This record gives sequence, C-alpha cells and structure tokens, in this order.
Amino acid sequence: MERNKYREQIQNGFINPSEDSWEKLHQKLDEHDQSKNNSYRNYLKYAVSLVFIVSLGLYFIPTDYNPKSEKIGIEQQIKQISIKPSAIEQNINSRLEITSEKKITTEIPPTNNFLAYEVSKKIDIQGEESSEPSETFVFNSNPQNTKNVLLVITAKPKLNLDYEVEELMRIANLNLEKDNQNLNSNRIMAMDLLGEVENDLRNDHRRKLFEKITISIKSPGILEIADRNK
Amino acid sequence: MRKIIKLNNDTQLIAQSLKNNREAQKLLFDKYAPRMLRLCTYYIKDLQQSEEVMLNGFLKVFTKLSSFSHKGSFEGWIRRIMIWESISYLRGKKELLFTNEIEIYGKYIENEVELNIAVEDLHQYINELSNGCKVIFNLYVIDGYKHAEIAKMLRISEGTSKTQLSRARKALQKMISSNQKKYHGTK
Repeated sequence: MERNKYREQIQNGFINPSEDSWEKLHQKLDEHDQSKNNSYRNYLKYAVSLVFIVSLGLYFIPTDYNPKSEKIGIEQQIKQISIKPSAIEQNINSRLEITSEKKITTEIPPTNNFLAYEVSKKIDIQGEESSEPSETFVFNSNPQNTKNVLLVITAKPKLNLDYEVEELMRIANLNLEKDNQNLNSNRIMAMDLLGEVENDLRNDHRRKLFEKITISIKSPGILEIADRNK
Repeated sequence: MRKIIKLNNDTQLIAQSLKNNREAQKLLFDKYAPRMLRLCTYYIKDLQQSEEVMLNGFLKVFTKLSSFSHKGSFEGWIRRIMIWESISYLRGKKELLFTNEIEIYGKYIENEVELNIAVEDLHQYINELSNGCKVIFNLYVIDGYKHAEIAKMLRISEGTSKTQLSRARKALQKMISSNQKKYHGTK
C-alpha cells in the first residue's frame, strides 16, 4: 500500500523542462526529417545511376552479338618442313584423311622446295578443344613450273586403329633403340640395377609369404613368416 | 491563413503528429515532458543530462510513432521509451555496473522500512545510490517491472537483479533510519 502510494506520487511528480527545450526538440526533428529526405535522395541517385549504366551497356552491345563466337579461338601451329612432297603424301595417306584439296598460284620461287605444315584446332575460352584438329599441308606441286602452283591439302586424323597401332609401334621401336644404345655403350646405371634387384626381392618375399599363408590355412599351426633377409 | 485544428485528446494528437504536424507534437510534448523529465531524473542525477535524455526520448517517440499500436496507454509507451533511453545513456557512459555478489535479500524484505518520508526526500536518497542499484530499484519499485523483465532488459541474471535490489533497500534503510535518528536527535 505504502509502495503504491509512493509509486503514484513519484509517477505523478513533474519537473518543468527548460523554456527552450521544445525549440531544441523542434530542431532535432527538422534535422531528422532532413537526413531522412537526404537518404531517400541518395537512394534515388544510386538507382538512377544504375539504370543509366545498364541502359548505356545495353546500347553499346551489338545486335548480332553472339557470346559463343567470342569464346572460340583458333590455336595454330605452323611449321615449315623440308620433306619431299612424295613423303608428305605418303604420310597423309597413312594416317590422315583428306578433307579438301585446292590449288593456289603464288609468287614463291620455283627452286624453293617449299612446304608448310599447319595444325589448327578450335579451342574454347577454357583452352579445351572444341572440335577435331585439322592439318593443312601446303607444298609446291610442281617446282619446275614458273607459275608455281601450290597445292593446299587439308586433312584430319583417320578414325581407325591402324594409326594408333603404328604410333605404338613407333614408340616401342624408339624404346628398343634406346635400350640397344645403352647396351652398346656398356654402361649400366647402378640405381636402376639396384631398383630391379629390390623389386625381385620384394616379389620373392611376397611369393614366399603367400606360400606360407596357403600352407598354414591348409594345415593350421604356428605361422612363421620368413624374414626376407634370410 | 493558417488552419487551426482543435486537438483534444491523445488519439487526435497522435494522428496529427504522424502527419508531422509540429503543433500537435508540441502539444504532446507539453503534456508529457514534465512527467518524463521527472522520470529521467530518477535514473540520471544531473538535471541537464536528464533533459537531454528526455529530448532524445521524445525524438524517438515522434519518429517511431507509427509503431505505437494503441493497445496500452500512450503515457506508458512514452515511459518505456524514456526508461530505455536513460538506461542506454548510462550504458553509453559506462556508468551502469552490476556486481554479482551473493546476498541474502530475503531478510531485508521482511524488514519493511517505514516510508514516512516525503517523496522529495526519497528521490534524494535514491539519487545517492550507485547507478546499478538505482536503476534496478527504480525499475522494480517505481516502474513495477519484474525481476525476470529487468534481467532481460539489462542483460543480467535474475539473481543479480535481486542482489542489487536488496543492496539498494539496505542502503536506503540505512539512509532513512540515520536521517530519522538525526531528525529526532536534533528535536
């Protein structure tokens, strides 16, 4: 009861604020309104700028714009080789399939047994191949001819296994040649030899261990694992 | 010619204040400012600072007026804002510290103090308390908040709230009884 009485008295008590208190509050309210308006204006400014930039961007994008065409580039490797036309023809016939042939008249000197070799493959922006590579051979079909007609042959790899087999055979031959060279030079690499011995030992140990395990399974007893060093 | 609007009750004043009518806002301010300033002085000792806090509180009242749902009394809503504003002010000044010492607050509750003193004297005694004790005493005794509510409001435990209240009561008892002895002694 006492507490309630005091509470009531305290709550109803008052102190008059200073005379200029309302003016201060008025000013604060005005400042708040002003800052609110400013923030709206700022938002509006940002929105207008954004719309302007987007519309400007749209205006400058060409109508025939195709994003895919930009992504694709052509990686070219051009090599000049000096092999006889007959050799390259043979090469083409063995591993490549001719897709087009055309003759071009140029001013290349007739004495020059000119040959150009170009591998083109389409790549996308990530650097991945997007189509099969094609190879173009340019050579002087008739060196004696003063007009110098160049034969341009475009070919792509044959889709048969012969070429792959040939390639494997070539690698095998190369390795064989290397081995023969090593044997002929009468020099043995010590580390290679040690590695081979180590492999043999390991295989032998594994074989012995496997044998032991098989025997122990067949006739249960104490399993003794042979020390590989014994 | 300026349009004169007759503003009689709070609802009309609130409606006009929502339209940024400064006249209505002034009327509301004039009506509640004295009581709110008194309330703030219970939390903040210095009168000038109390007035500053009250003005900030009224700024919030007028800018957040749209959130007043008309469910409770408008005065109660303003009071809550003023209390929050006062607590925020004390927090900002790092003057609101609560020590969490364990005290047996029950025995002080049994020892009711004879509140035969003037409200002004009580106000003076309350102002002598530390900020932590004062805020909790005011919230609990004057504004009628529960310990759980106070704990949530001040982000402290209920135990701390009870401890601080008990300490406040003890200090007030001491102050009142010593003053009464002094008064009777001089008589």
